[in-house]
Amino acid sequence: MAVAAKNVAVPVWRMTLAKWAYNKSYFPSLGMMRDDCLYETDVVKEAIKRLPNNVYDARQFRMSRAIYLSCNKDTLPKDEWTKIEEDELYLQPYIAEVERERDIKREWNKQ
Amino acid sequence: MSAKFTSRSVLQAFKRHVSARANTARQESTDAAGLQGLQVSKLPNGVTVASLDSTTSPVARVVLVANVGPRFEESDQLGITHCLRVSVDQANKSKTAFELTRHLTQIGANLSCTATRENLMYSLDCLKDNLDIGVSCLVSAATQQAFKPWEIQDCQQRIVFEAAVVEQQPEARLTEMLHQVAYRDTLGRSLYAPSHMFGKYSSEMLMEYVNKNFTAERMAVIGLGIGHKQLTRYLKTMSVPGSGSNTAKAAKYSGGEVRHEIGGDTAYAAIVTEGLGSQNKDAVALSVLQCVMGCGPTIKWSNGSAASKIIQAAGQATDQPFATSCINTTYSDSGLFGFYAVAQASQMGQVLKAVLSEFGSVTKNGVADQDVQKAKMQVKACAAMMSENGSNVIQNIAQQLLSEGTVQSQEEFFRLVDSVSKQDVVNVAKKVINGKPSMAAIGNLSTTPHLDELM
Repeated sequence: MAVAAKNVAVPVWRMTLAKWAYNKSYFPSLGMMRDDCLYETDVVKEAIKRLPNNVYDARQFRMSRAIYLSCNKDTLPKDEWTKIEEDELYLQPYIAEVERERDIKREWNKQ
Repeated sequence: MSAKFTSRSVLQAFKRHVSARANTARQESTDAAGLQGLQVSKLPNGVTVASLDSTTSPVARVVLVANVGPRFEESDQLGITHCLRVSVDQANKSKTAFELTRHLTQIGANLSCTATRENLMYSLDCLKDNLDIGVSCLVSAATQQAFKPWEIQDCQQRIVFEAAVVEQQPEARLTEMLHQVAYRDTLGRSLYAPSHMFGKYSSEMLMEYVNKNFTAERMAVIGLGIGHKQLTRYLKTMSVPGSGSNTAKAAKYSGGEVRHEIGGDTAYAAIVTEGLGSQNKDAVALSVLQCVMGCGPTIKWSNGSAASKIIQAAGQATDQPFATSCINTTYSDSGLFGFYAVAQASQMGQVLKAVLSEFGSVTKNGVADQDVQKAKMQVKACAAMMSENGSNVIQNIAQQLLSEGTVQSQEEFFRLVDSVSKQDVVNVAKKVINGKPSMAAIGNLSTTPHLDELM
């Protein structure tokens, strides 16, 4: 389950709220994951460049499919919607690394 | 016994420089040639550490040498050591590429990666005060490689560039061709990546190669200008990426001929037979023989015929510009002995025949006493002059430590050279020169004879 990044116990009410909010969102109905929908800042763009090829291709496929569905004002059948358990925050490690590198650069350039 | 001081060859190891050059314009003269105070020990993780302190210079040099040259490449990993050399400045597990470069520039140090066919040497030059940062950068670059996939892709461009630079240099290509035809695999593997491998090096491939080959008994760290306790302290946290033992496949000399026609005005050719490895007891006599035959002019811009027998012989065969020198390349278990010649395309046949007959006459008629004396002095002088430079000293110590386990001092080497007699030189000449020949030729080969026409 990729919802909590840290290994802390999440209260049950919090989990329930998260599930409800996820299922109410639009993007799972198009078959997308949360990291597909991130706004492409410079950090995110650099992280996307570092994705392994298969992850990048899967991302592209999901986005193309979502655009097609959105054009036809359609959604996937209910059983194909992304479920919160299957949603993987695949971009987070790369974003963390890019941010860390930027911080290091900023520290060095301060002096 | 080692004759590593005098391996004169066309072979040039390719350096990959990470950061701004340190401003050590003056050469520090070291008493390192005497090797007094060389201390050798083993770290808990199994890596050999050697250090030689010197108080005369503020510069310290540390070299991490791994017995992981192209010799150990499998046939599906060609050129992987080229990729390793080029990725020395990329991100590793403890520092990003940016951090590594900035640390080194901040302390004014030099980190480079040099490769011979047997060894990969990561060398650091820095001031003695900055050794803590310097050594941590060196160790992280050499043992904690991360090989991030996106950075490896960037490296491939550099590999393409370096291979293209080598493509422009016939002498470098000649050396690669010569080794390939003489040894086929092991020592025949090229220092540079072949074109069919451009873009094919992946993070997993490199990681697997490092984990298999960078084992503790094949690595050593040598410090020059740094005390032993200090060096051992800096290396306390060093971890070795590889485990298990991997014995080197013995180099098997095969011989043969390869030619590459590229046109132009000149032709380059090299003809060798199997020489001796550095552990062979006659290796020193072979170095003396090399200087008897002639290693090129000793006076700059002269034509060298007074200094070199083969230049003299070739000079009588042609009046056009040429260059020729005796090659003696020594590896740990094998070597190449012969000569290379560069001449105008139309004169190549005469030049090659003249030089070959000179080699032949040594086996038939022997050598003169004064030639042997002169050669011995040249060998000793060459060794002494090379040991003036700290980086030569440390690389020499590194290679000896890995291949023999002990380091020979200059006095011992000089004693060995002095003990070579005329008969030794003649015996080794007969043994080596009558072996199976290999020939490599590149350039305008219109008049260059084939090997069977020459022998």
